[in-house]
Amino acid sequence: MIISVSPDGPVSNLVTKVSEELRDQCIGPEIANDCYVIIDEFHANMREHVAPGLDGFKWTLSVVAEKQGVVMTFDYPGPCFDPTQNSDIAYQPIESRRTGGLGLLIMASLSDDISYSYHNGINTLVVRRYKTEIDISQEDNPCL
Amino acid sequence: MPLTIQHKQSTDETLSLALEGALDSDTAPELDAELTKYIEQTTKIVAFNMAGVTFISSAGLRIIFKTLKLMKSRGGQVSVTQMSKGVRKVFEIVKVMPDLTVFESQSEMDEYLAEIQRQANQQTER
Repeated sequence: MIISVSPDGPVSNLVTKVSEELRDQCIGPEIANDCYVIIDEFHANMREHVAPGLDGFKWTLSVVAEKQGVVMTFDYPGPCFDPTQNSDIAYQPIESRRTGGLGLLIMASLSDDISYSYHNGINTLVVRRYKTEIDISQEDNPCL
Repeated sequence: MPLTIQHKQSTDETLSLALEGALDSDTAPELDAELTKYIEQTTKIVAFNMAGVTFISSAGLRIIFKTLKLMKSRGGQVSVTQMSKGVRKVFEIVKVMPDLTVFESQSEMDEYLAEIQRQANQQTER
């Protein structure tokens, strides 16, 4: 599933589309909810920090549900920025954390793996949320 | 998913809200506006029932932090009850749990708020 997203739009539209895909692929609610939080963090970041002043800016989300879990790929045009090297990705006390850095910490903490690459002016962030044994045992699998 | 904000009970010192839906970047401004509208000068405790919250992102957390900061400046507190596993996980990531008064059930929270109100009434009578 690939969606082209305008940062001006509500995140709820995006979450609705992704939730349908995850439900079709038998992904349980716990992993799905973590995915929605990650998507909202990315969407808010695009809206607040990347898109302002850029006419017609869009980013792309690809969601693939695999046996091991969910892989979300976020692509957006712009200058190279590797969030995995940003200090905001680590825990800092709320009092000293700069405004806006919280989302990155949450994205990193909810995911099992984040990788970043930059090619031809496109930033690509691949976020993986694997199933744990608990997720698998708690799955209410409608596909069986 | 929209956010529904329901007023459970309020006194001079407490504001109690039940939230249902997603607390994300779409809906956090709604909660912020609601709190701005209903937090009085005398409010010292804001209680959130999170039983219906499907997920919370940093946009929602910021509103909780803002409320917590305001209540702490008044010597008050923020309490939360019935968090789902996923919502609790996000609170734990940002290590805010020690600053919150957490209840497992609404009845526990109601008893606590009633006790706070009894103490406030006694102080007024004196």
